[in-house]
Amino acid sequence: MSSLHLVNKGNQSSDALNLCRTALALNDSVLFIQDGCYNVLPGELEVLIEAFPEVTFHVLEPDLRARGLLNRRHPSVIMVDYNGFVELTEQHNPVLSWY
Amino acid sequence: MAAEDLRRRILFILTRPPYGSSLASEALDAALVAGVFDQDVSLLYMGEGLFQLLDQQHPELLQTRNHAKASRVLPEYDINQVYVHDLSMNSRGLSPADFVLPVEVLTQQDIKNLVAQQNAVLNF
Repeated sequence: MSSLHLVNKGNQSSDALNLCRTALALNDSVLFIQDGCYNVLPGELEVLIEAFPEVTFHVLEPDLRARGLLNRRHPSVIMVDYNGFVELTEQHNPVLSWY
Repeated sequence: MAAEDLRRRILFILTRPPYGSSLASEALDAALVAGVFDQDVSLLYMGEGLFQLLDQQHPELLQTRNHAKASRVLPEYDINQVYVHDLSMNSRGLSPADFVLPVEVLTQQDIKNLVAQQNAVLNF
């Protein structure tokens, strides 16, 4: 089973995303939550997609919407609600929190 | 239930320096507890977490407990899988000789493989 990586910080304020990239493997999934939403701006996410074309990137919609980023997201990011968050944790193991 | 059924592979990833927050200390406590309960425990130090392992720390100057000394008891709890990330180490000018414990140096690819083998991963 592939891993799920939760990232809750932007890459300017924390080393979380950088360390996540080190452990991120083919076919893993990433879910951006809280301030991790800033990583799905087009310029930021494009870099990740180029480096990890097989990884799927998700973002928690309420956290994205709360920050005024709903219409500023990269078009490839998959939006999930809280139920979707739970489903992702069911579909992956282990789950890693980068914060 | 046989003891083997309860044995899980648990990886602790330590990314914080030792004294700025309680995370380093909490991670060590949690890993030792898992060791006591006979779990298959491994530790991976990444980023500034590597500073936890530096020798010649003098935390008595901060009136706090010596994290390096505390880390040194890991083998007594049968925790012998201690890993460090090569780039995190090299970029800080560190080498295994600077650490209070014997460590195994892992590449990025080694780390991806290590994570994939775990039942649980706890990041501190």
